[in-house]
Amino acid sequence: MPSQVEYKTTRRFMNIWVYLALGAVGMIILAGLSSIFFVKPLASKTLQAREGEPARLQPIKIKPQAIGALRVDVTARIPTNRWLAYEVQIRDQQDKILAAGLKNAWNESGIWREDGQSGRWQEDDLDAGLDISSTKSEPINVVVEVLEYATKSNQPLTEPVSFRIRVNQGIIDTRYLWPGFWGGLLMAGLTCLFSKSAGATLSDKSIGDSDLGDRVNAGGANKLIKVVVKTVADETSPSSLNCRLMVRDGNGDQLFNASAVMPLKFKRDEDGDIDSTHGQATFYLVLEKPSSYGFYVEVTPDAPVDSTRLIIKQGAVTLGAVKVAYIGAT
Amino acid sequence: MLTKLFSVATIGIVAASILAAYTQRSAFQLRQERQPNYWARRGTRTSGRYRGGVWVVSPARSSYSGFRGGSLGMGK
Repeated sequence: MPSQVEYKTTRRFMNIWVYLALGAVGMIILAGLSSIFFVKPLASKTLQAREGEPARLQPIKIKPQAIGALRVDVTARIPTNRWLAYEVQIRDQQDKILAAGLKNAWNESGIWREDGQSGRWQEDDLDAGLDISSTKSEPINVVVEVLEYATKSNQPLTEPVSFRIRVNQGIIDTRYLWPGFWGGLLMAGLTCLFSKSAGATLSDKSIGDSDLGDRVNAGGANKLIKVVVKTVADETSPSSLNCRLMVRDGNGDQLFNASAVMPLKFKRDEDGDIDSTHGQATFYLVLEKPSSYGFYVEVTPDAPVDSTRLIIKQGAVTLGAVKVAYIGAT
Repeated sequence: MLTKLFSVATIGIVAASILAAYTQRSAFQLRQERQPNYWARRGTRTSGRYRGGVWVVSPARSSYSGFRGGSLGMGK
């Protein structure tokens, strides 16, 4: 034997970048899930307010925080077919407004009729929210003030409105995580896609037969050569084909001879008849000495084989551990 | 190599969004006149600006009186 073949299962050609990208997407999911651990409820109360008589929570202490902010969530409770303009205010100890958020809330219902059918609809938009952060520690007051309250027909109302007010500390704005998640997922997908096509294609040949070969200049101790064989066979083929790959050196001496089973995928047309069958075999090689090598493929049994395609790539990367044939120089 | 480029882009996007979320840059900064990163939630817009230590109500605040809730056409 002029050369030795040694099989090794290795992660050496694994593409770490794919895992970094997928890990980053995992991190964002983790960041979203762990955001709940930072939340500290400060107040949760249902209070009543009317025009000129704001609802007021007990003073709350706000302090500078590296993670998260103070979140005030308010939900108005009003009967249907009313509208309400209210303001969520943050006031300081002197009762001066530091921040105020205006909400136009409404709750409506009615009857819908369509194609002889009818039913009741009800829609509302009653929630208000204000996130605040501060650079100094100070007590603040959360105040909810009714600005206008009226029926749908614009009849002003003076009756009190009840508000559910919740104040939480350490709230993380998860709205940022969604574009980060989708954008990250897209980028990670592209990373995977381009990892698959990494490397230089040395040869890509097709033939309407079962046997095929090509001679290329290849090799190098750190270069993974990926040989992909794709076949299309007709409906008389067995459930799998056998694919044999032989590598010969510049003198025509055989260095490597291995075979792989090609499981076939059957494609059917709309009548359920087998249209064609597709099979693929992949070999990973490291040819230690750069030189001219011939790659020859035989697919057996050859009777059902319609066409065979041979792709030789150098500098390929893998997603996991693969079995690599190291073909040493003498 | 494109794989490296996209991988670095993924990590960059993820890091930026986690940083933005965890520092809550969208929150209203108390006693600050400029609020470049404020991002309103639940349709709650600020009704004014903090100027020289006082809350100056914006003229748009009066526009709430023109609000009539969801119109009939909105529902079903």
